[in-house]
Order: sequence, then C-alpha cells, then structure tokens
Amino acid sequence: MAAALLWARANLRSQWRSAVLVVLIAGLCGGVAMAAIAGARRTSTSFSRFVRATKDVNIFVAVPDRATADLSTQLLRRTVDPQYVGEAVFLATRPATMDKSEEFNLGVIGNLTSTVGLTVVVPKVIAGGLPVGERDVAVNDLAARRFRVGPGDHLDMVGYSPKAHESCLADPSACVADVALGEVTVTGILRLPGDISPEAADSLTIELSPALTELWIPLVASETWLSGAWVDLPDTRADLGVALTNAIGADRVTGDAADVFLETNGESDPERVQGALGVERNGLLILALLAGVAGLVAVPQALARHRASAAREDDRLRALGWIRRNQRQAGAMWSALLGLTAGLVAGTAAIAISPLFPIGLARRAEPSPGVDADWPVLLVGALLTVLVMLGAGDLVGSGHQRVQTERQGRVARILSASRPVPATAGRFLLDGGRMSAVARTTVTSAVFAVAMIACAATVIRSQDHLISRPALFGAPWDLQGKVFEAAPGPGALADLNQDSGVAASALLIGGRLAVDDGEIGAVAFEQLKGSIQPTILSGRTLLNDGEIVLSPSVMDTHHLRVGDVVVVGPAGATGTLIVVGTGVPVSVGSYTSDVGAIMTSSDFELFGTATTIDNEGGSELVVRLAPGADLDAVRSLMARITGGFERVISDSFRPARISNIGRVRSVPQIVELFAGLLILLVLLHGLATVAGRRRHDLGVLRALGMRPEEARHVLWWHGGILAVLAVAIGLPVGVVGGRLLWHTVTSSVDSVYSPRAPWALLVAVAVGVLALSIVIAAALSRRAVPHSISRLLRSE
Amino acid sequence: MTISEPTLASQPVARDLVVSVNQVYRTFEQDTAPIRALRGADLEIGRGEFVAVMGPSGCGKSTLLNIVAGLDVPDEGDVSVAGEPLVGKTESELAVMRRRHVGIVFQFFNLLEGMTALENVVMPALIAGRKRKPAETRGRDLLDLLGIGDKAKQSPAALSGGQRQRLAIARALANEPTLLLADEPTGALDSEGGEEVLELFARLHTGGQTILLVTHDHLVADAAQRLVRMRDGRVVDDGRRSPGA
Repeated sequence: MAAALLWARANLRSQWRSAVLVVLIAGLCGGVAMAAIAGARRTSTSFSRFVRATKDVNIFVAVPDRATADLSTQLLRRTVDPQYVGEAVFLATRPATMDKSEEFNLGVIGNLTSTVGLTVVVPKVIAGGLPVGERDVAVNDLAARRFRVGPGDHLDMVGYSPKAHESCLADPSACVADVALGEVTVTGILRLPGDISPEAADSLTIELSPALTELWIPLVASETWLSGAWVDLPDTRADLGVALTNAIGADRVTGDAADVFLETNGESDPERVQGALGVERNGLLILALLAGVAGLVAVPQALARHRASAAREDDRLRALGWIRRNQRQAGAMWSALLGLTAGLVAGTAAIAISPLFPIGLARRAEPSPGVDADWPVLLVGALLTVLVMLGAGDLVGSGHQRVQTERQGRVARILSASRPVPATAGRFLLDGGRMSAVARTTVTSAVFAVAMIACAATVIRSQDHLISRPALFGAPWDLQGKVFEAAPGPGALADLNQDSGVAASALLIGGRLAVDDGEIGAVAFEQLKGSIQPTILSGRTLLNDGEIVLSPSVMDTHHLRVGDVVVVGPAGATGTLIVVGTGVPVSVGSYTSDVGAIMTSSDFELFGTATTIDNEGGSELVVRLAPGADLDAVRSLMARITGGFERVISDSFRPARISNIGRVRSVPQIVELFAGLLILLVLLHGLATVAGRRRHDLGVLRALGMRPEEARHVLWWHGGILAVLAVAIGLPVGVVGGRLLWHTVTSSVDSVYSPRAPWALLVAVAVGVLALSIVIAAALSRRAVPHSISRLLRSE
Repeated sequence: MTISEPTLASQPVARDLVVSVNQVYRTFEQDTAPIRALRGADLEIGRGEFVAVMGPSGCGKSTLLNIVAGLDVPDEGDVSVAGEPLVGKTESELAVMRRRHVGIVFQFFNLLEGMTALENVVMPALIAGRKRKPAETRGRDLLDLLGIGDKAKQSPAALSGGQRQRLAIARALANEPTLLLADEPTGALDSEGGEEVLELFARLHTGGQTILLVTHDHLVADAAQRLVRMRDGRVVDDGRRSPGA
C-alpha cells in the first residue's frame, strides 16, 4: 500500500498534465450528462412550479353578461381567499397596426378587480410593472415581441362598437373596427401560464388596468365575461365547480356545456404542455445519454493513453519486485484519485452550465432560471464518475499488462514507403505494441466525437428543412382559410380559380368518421382547380371513391396495412373503403387531429358526419400558388371567401408536434458544442501523450540528421493523419447515424422523411478538425523536439 | 553516389584532417553550480584514423564527442568536421552536416523500436534524401556485412545486445559517413558482445573508416590506433599508438 501511494505521488508529479486532461475529459462528459439530467428533471416540473408560483386561475366560468359574472365572483369569494378571486372581460379591440387575420391570436382582457386579478393573481413580471393608471396596459412577452413594445412604449388601439361587432359575427368579411381608442401606455411585460403552450407562439395578450377597463366597457363590445379564482386544493376546486354550476345554471354560460368549468391547469391545456415538455425532457435525456456514452468511450481511452505515457516505468518497477497485485492497487488508488477529482469537476461543470437548461417551452415556464444545483443528480453523477474511472482504470490496467510487445503492422510497413517525415508520423500512429494504445484510443475517441457532430448537424439541417416546409408535415399548399358561409359564393370562387397566380385549389371538409368501433377525425378533399393532395407517407394518394388514407396512429391502433379494407360509417349506414396509403393528418380550423382519415368528398358525404363543435372542422379553402404569383393579389381574392382570415401556411402553420421538435433544436446544438470540446481535449491529450512518448525517437531522428523543423513536422503530420482518420471515419458514420435518428423522429411526428446533409458544415468540421489537430501538434512539437539531443540520448 | 556496394571510407590520407577541435570550452548551467565540461580542449583527427578518447567520468569526453557530432555546441573555440566549421551553424545546418559526414553509435543503441532492423538502417538515408530502393539495397548489404542480415525484418527489441549494437553501427554507416562516432559502444554489452563490436570497428578501420570513440574501458581503448587521454575538460595526452600496442 505504501509503495502504491508512493507510485501515485510520483505519478502525480510526472504525469500531472496528462492527469488534468483525463480529469477534464471525464468532467466534461460527466458534467454535461449531469446537467442534462438535472435539466430534464426541471423540465418535467417547470410548468407545475410556474403555475404554483404564479397562482394562475384554475377555476373559472365564462358567461355572456356582467351580472352573472358578478354573481359567480360573489360565490367564489365566500369560499376562496378574496385576493385570489378576480373578474374580467374580453373586449373587442386590437392595436391599430395589427392585421385583421391575426385577431384570432389576440386576447384583450379588461381586468375588473383591483389587482390584475383574473388572468393571473401573481403574474410573472418579465419587465416593468403592472398596469394601474387609466391608460395603462401590460402585454405578455409574445405580444411585446410581436408589437415591438417595452415598458414606457405606446400602443394605438382601435375597437369594435357593439353594433360593428354584431355585424362582424354575422359576416366576418365585413368586419370594421369603428372606434378609435387612442394610445395606451405599456407599463410591463408579463408571462402568463396560458403562454406556456406548445402552440403559444402567436398567443398575444393585452391586459388592461381596471380603470382603463371601466373606461372602455361602454365604448366597445364585450365578448365574454369571466369570473374565476385560484384554488390550491384539487378537491376543493372540484366541489366549488359543482357548487358554481348549480348556482349559475349551465344554460347561463357561453359555449358548450362541457366548457363551463375549464380547469386550465388541470386537464387539456396542461396535457398539451406536458406533451411538449415530454419531448424536451426526452431530448435532454438523449443528450445525457450521449454524454454518458461519450464518457464511457472517451474516459477509458484517455486512461489508456495516460497509462501508456507511464508505461516505461513498469519494467523498472517489476525489476524491483513490483507484482501485478501492486500494480492493481496502485492503479485503483490512482483511478480513485482521478475519479474523485473528475466527479468534483463534473459537478462544478454541471452547476456552471445549468443556466443553459431547461430548454424550449420549459425554459419559458421555468420560474427560477439561472444557476441550479440538483444535489441528488450531482451526488449520483459524481459517484458514477468515480465508479467509471475505477472500472476503466482496472480494465486499462489489466489490458495494459497483457500488451507488452511491439508488433509491426501492415499499414505501418506501407507507410514506411513514403518520405521520412510523413512515414515516421504514420509509424508513430500505427505502430503495434504499447503505443498503439495511444493512437487507437485517440482516433476512436475523435471518431466518436466527430460522428456526434456530424449526426447532430444532420439532425439540425433536416429539422430546419422540415420546419420550413409545411408540405412535409401535412400542408402541401400555400394559403388556407376558413370558409364562413356553408359554401363559398360561386362568383368569388370562380374569380379566385381564374387567377393565374392560383395553381390549384381545393375545399377541405372537416368532420368525423366512424371506423370499426371508434370515431376519428376526417377530412375530405374536394378539388376545385388542379390537384391538391394530402401529404402521403406510404402507399399512394386518393385516386377514386372507395379509397381512404389513414394517419399512422390510426393504422397502428386498428392494426391496418395499406391494401386492407375498413368498415366505416355510422351504425346502419356502414360501407367499406380500401386503405391506399398512410398520410399526414390534415388540420382544419383550429382543430388539429393526429388521429385522422383523408377521403374523397363523395365518400365523406356517404359515411362522414359534421362536427358538433363550431371550431372543430368545418370547411376550409386551400390554395397552392403558381410560381411567381402575387401573394397579395391572391389573398385579396381569397379574402372574399375567407373574410380576410386566410393564413399564409409557411408563416403560421406549425402543428404542436412540429413546434415541439423545433423547440429542442438546442439539444443537437449542445451536442455539437460538447463534441467539439471533446475533440479538443482528446486531440490535446492524444497528441501530448505522443509528443511525450516520442521525444526520445525524435531525438534519435535528429541525431540521424533530421532538421529540427522536420522533426517538428513529424508531429504535424501525426496530428494531420490522426485528424484525417477521425474525419474520414467519423463524418460518414455520423451522417448515417443522423439520418437513422431523423428517420425515427419523422416517424414519431407523422411527417415525411426528407433528411438533409449539412455539406458546408461537414466540410467546415473536416477542415476545422484537421486545422485544430495540426495547430495542437505544432504547439506541442516545440516542446517535443528536444533542444539538447545529446543529453536526451544519454539518459537511458 | 553509387551505393550498390557497401564500400567503406577511402584509404587513409595522413594529414587530411577530418576533425579539428581548437580551444573548445563548454559549461553546463546546473541548479547548484555550473559544470565546466570542457576547458580548452584540442584535438585533430586525420582521415582513416581510429581514435579512442579515454578518461574518468566527468572529464568531458562525451561532451567533446557530442560537439564533434553537432549534437551540442561549444561556448567558445572552433570545431570543424571534414573541413566544415561547425561553430555558428544553425541546428538545421548541423543536421545537414550530420547527414553528410557523421554516423553515431550510442552506448544505449537509441534504435527506433517501432521500426524493423532494416528500416532503422534505411531511415538515415531517407532523411538525407536518398531514394528508398537503393537505400534498402545498401541497408541489406550493411546488415549482411555486420552479420545480422537474417534479422532485417525483426524489431530491435527481438535482438540481443550485441546484435542491437551491430544494428546501430549499420545505421551509422548508412550514409557512408566521413566520420564514425561511438560513445561507449560496448558499455551496455557483455564481454562477448563487446568483443564482437570491437572486431567490427577494427574491420571498418581497416577498410579506411575514420573512427572516434569515447570510452573509459582500457580494453576498448586498446583496440584503437591512437589513444587520447582527457582530464578536467582538457586533452592531456594526444599520444599516437598502433592497434594492440
């Protein structure tokens, strides 16, 4: 034991540079893995913590008049702490600069209680303060970005008088904001739990002060009155819900009876949020897994290099009676020392990079972003780091004891045929025996890291490609808008279809379809001009009546394959359709279905049923533009049918499943950064080990007549060959891995597999790794090539 | 230059100086106190001479040899090898001088362990810019000449001490050097291996090779044609002797 301690102390003195690099490699891998796991844990709880922190309304009633809202408020105040009860009204106003088609995304909320009571009891104030004065408003951060305003800025507002609002509801194309409300002052930027939604990118909110609300109520239409509260206990909330329903009466609330009590933080919205957060959590867990695997690959490799750099001592120690048990004891002690240090470094690194996490939606929801220490994760992570180091050290030690002879490799002999400098560099890399451990481990770790970069870059490039092309995820057209009449007027449709800017148009009819024993969303395509087809994932599109295209999830649920026959239609009026393909579900209205069917309009008439809820389904007009078409001209023609509420698909159509992918874009970016750092450390360690071990050989070569610069160039070449090997193997492996990963991703989100290779980036990575390796080798070569050859060659 | 035959150096020419060392000083800075390794050393060696430098440990003989080899540079004094002054030359120029004129045999061989025996011999010729094929031909011939032709494909680690030193000598002769330098060439060998090496040096000398070896072993020194004694960094006896005298 004492000898082992002495050995470890001597090692620390003579090998401290190498030890530092080993610790940094382990610390980097462990730190990123720990930070990612801690980030994943924060992701899972971020929304619930945010909701609790903001005490957002979680029980409310929406009614058509103020008197009923007041009654509800009184009832709530009897049970709930009054400071957590509020009342508000949606007012029909908007900023004057806002496009009419965007109004669907805007909520102007007039708060009636003295606090900003209804929407949020304790708002998360991003900047500024709450609105109090007679012309004060606060906006959510999405609205602040959209309107480019901050605290102290002004917004010019317009509104709809009750009469104009009534006309608007009857005929949206005739909507005119007829009340000039003047300027309001933005006092603060808020973040509301309702903003934490997978599709909240366009969810804009303007909160009015109570004084401003009272000022505007007589001037503009009041759309819906709201009364609600924050109730901490779920049971109390449920009881209160029943009591409110009985007191007010279900017939006095707006909309569907099912919407009377919408527990905003208990059911559907949080499910969607948690679904999105699940994607982000999984992304971070994948990052942790990658970092962990990288650690399992790189740490033993680094230890092997470290061991190789001290290998010459072994023979001498054996001569002194040092046996295998001594070696294992000393190795374990040394590995434990390195492991403890690496665990400490990893923990520190995890805390240092914790502000990078969580990501995406969870980051918006995180109530306390910044430095975070997740002690359970840190402690387990540090322990695992120590164990990995111990295990790897033992593995390397026992492996090292077996490999003691120098062997001539075939590649090494081939390399000998080239000029002395590159030949020597190649021999340094490929020689058998002890040194092969250095070369092999450096190349393996570098290949792994380069492959990680290539994989991540392929995913990012493919992700960008997917997100920028709605055709790949279910909307192979350019414009889409709801048809407000039962059917568009023939004149308006004819005018639209005669326009040369319209390449094709179709009517999408949304509804539901009974398939076997269940009911799914269904969309019928009625071609108006040219041909617009749904996005097909496998099989083919619809060509005739009697055919149906189903979404992958329906195919899975019903165990169907392309070519099968399904029984569809309501009881007593069933028929059969042939499944001709798998397609991406189509969104109609605000209803997005990931369990859907696509069929012809004739079949839909026979077997489908219209939806009962207004915003689910209905008819929508879709238009594909001709090349070079004037978008504004086509939109103005389309507006005659859609009331000006048509959407430009490339700007606005992002289903949650696609947005969720977009929000985890930072994961592959972090992987790139991590792998880049890993390459740097691995190259540094590998080349430093070679430089140290080959110092004597370089001295001999100098004695044989090699110039100093030629001897240095041996290491340059060595670094270059190593980088070329890493790039030549790592890039293709990474690209293939990235494509496979992307195939899995696209399959899980029902979109077309259309991978893209980031050629420019791959070339940059190749050049970068080569340059980095040569620069490191060049820097190390100054120390590696001995100045005093005579002393070196006598110091055997 | 044709290298098809393993020719050794040309016949000796008495006062054709291969080595000229004139009032050379060399001091090594150490933590405790400077070590004055050479304090005005003088030496001249003619073409074809076989000179042994002897002296106690620390007398400066290895430093002198390193300076002649261009592996070290003097603080003061003049040194020339084959008529080329070494003082003032850059590291690169000294390396080129070594390629042309100097072959070195070390006490601990300093072979390149990752290469085969033949590759070790070929390497200096390749460094000097020779073509691989003729360099290999000469390398094989040298290995045959030194009696280790059958070990050409083996790693140096697989050779005995005597064989390793023969290999080192073969490597030193690869570029047909004007001067063969040897630093304690038998120091790491047993008596049998040492005798093999000395016999080899004698054969090389007979063939006309100029040799300067450094040793503290009388038996080794006796093999030389001329014995130079050093003490305290100076040449104290530049005696000329016949081999075996």
